Amino acid sequence: MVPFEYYVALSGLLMVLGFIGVIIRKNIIAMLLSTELMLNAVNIAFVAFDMKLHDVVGQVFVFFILTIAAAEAAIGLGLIMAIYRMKKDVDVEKLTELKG
Amino acid sequence: MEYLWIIPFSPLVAFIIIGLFGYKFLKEPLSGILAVIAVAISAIASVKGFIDVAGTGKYYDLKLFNWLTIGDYSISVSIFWDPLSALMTCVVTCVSTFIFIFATGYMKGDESYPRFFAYLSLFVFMMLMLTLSDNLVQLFFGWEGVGLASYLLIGFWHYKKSAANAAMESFVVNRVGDWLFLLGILLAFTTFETLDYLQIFNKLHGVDYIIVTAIALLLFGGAVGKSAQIPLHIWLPNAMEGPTPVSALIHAATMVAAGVYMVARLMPVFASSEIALDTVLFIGTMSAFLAATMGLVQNDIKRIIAYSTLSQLGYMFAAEGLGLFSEGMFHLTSHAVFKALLFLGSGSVLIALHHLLDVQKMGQIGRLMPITMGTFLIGSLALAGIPPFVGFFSKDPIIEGAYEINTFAFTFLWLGAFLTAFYIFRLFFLTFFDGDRLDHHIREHVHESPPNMTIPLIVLATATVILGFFREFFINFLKPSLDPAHMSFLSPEVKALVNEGLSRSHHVHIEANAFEFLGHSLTSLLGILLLATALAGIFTAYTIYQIRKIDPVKVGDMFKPLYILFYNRWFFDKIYYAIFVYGYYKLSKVLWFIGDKIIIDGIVDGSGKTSLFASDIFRKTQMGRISGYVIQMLIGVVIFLSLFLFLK
Repeated sequence: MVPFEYYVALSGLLMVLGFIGVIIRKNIIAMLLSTELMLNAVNIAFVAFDMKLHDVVGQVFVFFILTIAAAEAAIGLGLIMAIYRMKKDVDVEKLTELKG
Repeated sequence: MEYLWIIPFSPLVAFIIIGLFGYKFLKEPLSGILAVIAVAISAIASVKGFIDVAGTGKYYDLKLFNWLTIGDYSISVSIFWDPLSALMTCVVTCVSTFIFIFATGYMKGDESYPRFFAYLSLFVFMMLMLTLSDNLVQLFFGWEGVGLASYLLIGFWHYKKSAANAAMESFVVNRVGDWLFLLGILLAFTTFETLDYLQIFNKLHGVDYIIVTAIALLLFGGAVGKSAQIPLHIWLPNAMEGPTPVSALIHAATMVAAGVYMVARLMPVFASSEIALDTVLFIGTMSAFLAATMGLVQNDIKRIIAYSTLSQLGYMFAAEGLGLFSEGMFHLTSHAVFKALLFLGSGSVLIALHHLLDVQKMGQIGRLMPITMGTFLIGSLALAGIPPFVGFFSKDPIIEGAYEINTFAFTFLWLGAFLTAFYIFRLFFLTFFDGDRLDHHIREHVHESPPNMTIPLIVLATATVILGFFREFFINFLKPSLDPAHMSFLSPEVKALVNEGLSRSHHVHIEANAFEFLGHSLTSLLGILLLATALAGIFTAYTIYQIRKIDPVKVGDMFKPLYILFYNRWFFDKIYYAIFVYGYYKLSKVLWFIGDKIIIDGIVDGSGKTSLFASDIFRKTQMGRISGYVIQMLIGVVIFLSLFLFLK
């Protein structure tokens, strides 16, 4: 049996990878994928701790999160489509509307 | 005596009706006619009252209604009718009637015709509240009311900047005097616990000398402002910006004489204090002399007469300061008549010359306006003090009294008499005779004024001729009000006190009967000296300005420093402007700079600038790059997590 620390480590690794992805990528679609990665890191952490604690609540939460993630991905992609239509670009460096 | 209430309220009703309906319904001739009728009614009522009181010498104190109550003392609106107030009321209403009639001609065609008569009626109402009062509060009400009416009428042509400024100046200068007057009233109230004249008089004997002096001096401060005496005289010459009937009524005959009337009304208070009487004498004498010197070199026809008003008011105050209160009031009466005549005469000239004011540009209009010229000559002779005109019978007794009582006052009043005769005849010759200096276009249109302007002139001129012979009647008539031996409303102690205060004039004997006085003047050395002085003044004016034997420019050059001094009116205006107007302006500028600019603007601008500065730093964190925001978020998460871990 794989010890649960391995799962937690995997979760942390995915989280960090997701963060790095968000920070260094300039393509907004890649950034959305990176956030999906971080979301799944959280899911793995939920399942891992659930395994350790012998509780099913964590697994139930994971299903909820998966459902919401699907909706959120749809909204995110929709927003990206809207931005692309407006700016003809998906490069975050060029989206500087809020710069003071 | 109940009918007396008509006197003040008839002009008030006229004021209300003209004020409400003047422009819409009454329009030009009717509003003037209504005002004339209203003031004529009060003139008739006051003459009836005058005759009633002349027979008996009694006094009546009618309380019309209660105005307000302060503690135990209630102030009532009242009519105090004794010879003094009867005389003053008659002067006000009768002179007003003729000036109102004159004004219907003078203001013809003015677009604000109804407003003019509304203000004039308001003025007469306020003036009558002042003269008929039996307490200091109602007096003060009238006092402020005539000040308001004066302000409104000086600035009647408010679109002229000079008129608006003159109105403001008169209001501000009067405020200085009124402030002292109010302090005097308050001090009187704390001292006597009442403000009714009769109660004040009868409490006089128990009061500290210093306090009585202070009350008298403070009240006199108000009189100095209202009667335009030095040092608060500067507003009156500028007040000539108003229409000429206003100058005649308010700034010559009645309102400016209110100070003289007030001092006479409160005679027992002033007589209780030597210092107060001396101050009145000194201020009056100096005003009489200084104003006469200022009048010598002016070129504006109305201003010359205005300086003469200052000077004659000085004579009245000097008479009161000498203790000759009846002579002062008689001079007030005669001055009201002949000065109104002079002003209306100058108004008639101004109408003919289309408001040309400079006497140096007039000349030879006497033949074209015989009635104006003749009546003006009578007024001038009265002012100069030539018998048999009324000025001789009222002014010469004052100078003769001064000779007996106070040499200093006599010297200046005597010199003033010479200057008076000179400046008024300088004006007379330059205006009506002398060379032809008038613009020919204006000359073609010069004509005598219409009857509604000449009739008041003739009536006033007639009064100027005959009034002097009633001298004995007036002096005796005023005795129950101004002679302590005959004042029935004083208690014996106060009578003694007042008698002692007036002791300076006890040894003076001036003939009351006009013919005896005339005979005395023509036989005694002093009388001849005074007559010669007046004639010398007229003769000097004749040689300089009529036959031109002496060139006035050369005389001016010879006494250059004096000429500059007189022409600049002893620099009073300039000094006041430098100290008060510009001083105030500079003080305001300093306060504006420190208070407004540095402190208030500093706080307001400072808070704005602080937030701008701080925002300028913090806005750098909003770089507009999502990766940057994510790093900030990450740093934040790390900081809070570590705090959570370590501080737990």
